[in-house]
Amino acid sequence: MRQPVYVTGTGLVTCLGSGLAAQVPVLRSGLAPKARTVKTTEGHAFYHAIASGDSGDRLYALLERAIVPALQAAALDEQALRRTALVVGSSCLDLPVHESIYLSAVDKGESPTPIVGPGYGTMAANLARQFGLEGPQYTLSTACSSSANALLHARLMLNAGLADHVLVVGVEAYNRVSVEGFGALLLLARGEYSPFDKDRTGLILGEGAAAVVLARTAGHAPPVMLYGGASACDSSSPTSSHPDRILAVMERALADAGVGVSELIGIKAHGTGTVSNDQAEGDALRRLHAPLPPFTSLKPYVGHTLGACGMIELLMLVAAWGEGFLPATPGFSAIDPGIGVVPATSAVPLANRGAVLCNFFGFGGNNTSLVVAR
Amino acid sequence: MIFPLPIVAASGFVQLAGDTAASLRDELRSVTPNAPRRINRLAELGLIGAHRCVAGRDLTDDTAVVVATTTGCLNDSVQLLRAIGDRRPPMPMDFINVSSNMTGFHLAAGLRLHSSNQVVASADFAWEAAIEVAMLGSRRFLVGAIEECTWPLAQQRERLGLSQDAPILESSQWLWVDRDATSPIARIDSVKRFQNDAELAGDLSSASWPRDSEVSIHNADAAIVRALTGLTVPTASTPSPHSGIDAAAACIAAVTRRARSFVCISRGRTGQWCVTAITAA
Repeated sequence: MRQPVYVTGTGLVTCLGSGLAAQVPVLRSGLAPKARTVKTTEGHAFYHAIASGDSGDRLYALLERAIVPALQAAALDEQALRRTALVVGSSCLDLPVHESIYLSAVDKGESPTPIVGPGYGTMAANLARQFGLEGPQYTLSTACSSSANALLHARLMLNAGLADHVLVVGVEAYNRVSVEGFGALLLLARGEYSPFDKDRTGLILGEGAAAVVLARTAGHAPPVMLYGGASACDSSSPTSSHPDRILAVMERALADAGVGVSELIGIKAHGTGTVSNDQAEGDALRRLHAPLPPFTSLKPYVGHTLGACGMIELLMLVAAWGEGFLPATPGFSAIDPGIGVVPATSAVPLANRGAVLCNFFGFGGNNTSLVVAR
Repeated sequence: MIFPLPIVAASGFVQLAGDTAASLRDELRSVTPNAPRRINRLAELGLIGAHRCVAGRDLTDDTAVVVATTTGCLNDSVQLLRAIGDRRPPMPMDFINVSSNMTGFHLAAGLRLHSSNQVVASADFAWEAAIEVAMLGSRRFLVGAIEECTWPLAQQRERLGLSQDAPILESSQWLWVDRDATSPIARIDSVKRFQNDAELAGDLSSASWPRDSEVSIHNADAAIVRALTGLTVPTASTPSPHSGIDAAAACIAAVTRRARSFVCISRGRTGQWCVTAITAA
């Protein structure tokens, strides 16, 4: 049976601030912050984690703000740090850098070649060099499940004895491709961000970065463990999943973790706020267990951070759980009769010990569920 | 135990990029009559290679799909940036297709697979990284390495830092691995990483490969590899912007020609090494 692995260092930066503690006041309030409007074709809303700076600079600034505290907290000696593996989960990868360079040149009236020096693994290579990591590097890019899959792979590496420590990183930096792309798909919210609500209209994007150092032993770390998880492809539709497949991946994740659904004390839903995701996920949650443990969507607090949401929302959950609560889902006011489930509408007390299921679903039917325990 | 990994089948598809993008539809329809439409070139390449590998056989739905790529969905990324630069809204399908895992999605749809579906990249050893991701997560998997070209070629050569007369290849290389295979054609005996020359030499001095193993080297000096390993190695090592494919192509070629013993040695940009050993069953 696969073994749990331990979170020995964390770093997080979202629009709520840097560090786990910075997330708590807003999470406790249950109120979503106001998103800024960005300059895109239709002036969409966006949650910035860094106030200014071009896309290229902000990507690595976000990463540094997440990775530095995580490595500091893990307190690895020099040899251990050198041998630490690196797993990055991201959907934007370094596109913001290329976008910044390209659009700057276009704005000057030039005819630049888009994306010079491409490489999905470039960002990880740069991070490894910057932080002195000489272990294996992996970049996983599976849309919105990217960093959740990164966590799963890191756990497998540790269980197999292929690494003693793994730095897992999730990042999404503002880029116009993503905002314009979701706009073209008509998936962006036309008002408040309200997952699972009867009148939900879509999602608001956000940026951020998160990092954890996973290890086989807890050491002095807070008692947070990645207990298990599962990832599976639902090939029924490129942009939405079928409830059967969502249910299957949740059940597989629980089986992998050796946790019964009745043992769950909470669920962190993917909860994007789109009509289709929330319908399918809500249907699957309703069939998972009755009564359903309290569940919530964290996306209204920081925006949908796409490939980074696995890592970012995991640490937001850890931050709130450490203070004894599961945050409410902002924006929810009316039950959708077609879904029939209601997310937490106020902070729910969470026991100090227990297991929480976390869902992350990406385009291409890439569905991942994680089981986190304290 | 992780190794050995029994190989059921292997296949590769490679074509030289011409001055214009050659259509892949006919090739795709020849391997899968129900080829999906409105997919991108990376997915077309991926499906061609994977279906050639599977060759119409049934896979169990717990077969994972892992795709290695270095430059990913380059065509879609370029098109999306051009649209934004031109102040045009992006085409919805271009945005959906820019998710590199769409290749695995279409493959899973066609082969009715419902297991893990991953896209793996690494600046060095992308192919080997994909094998490592696959082997830890699943008992059986399709692992492929795919790289596409973009046009115009002059821009693609500039993009990759190549001379303007350098050939550019598009490639889709696949292995089908199944730990429960009863009649594998070969097996991956090991995928090992080494931090430096000394670690490589130390391990290889005790390696059990036959001295006449076929050897393929990537981004490494042949003389150095001969000195470190004592193996007879090819004299040429062609540096490639797609080093991930080169290793994959070499492995697939070795499997398909039933090489008795094959060693693929890749060197990374920071002096690390990765060695894959494959033997015929």
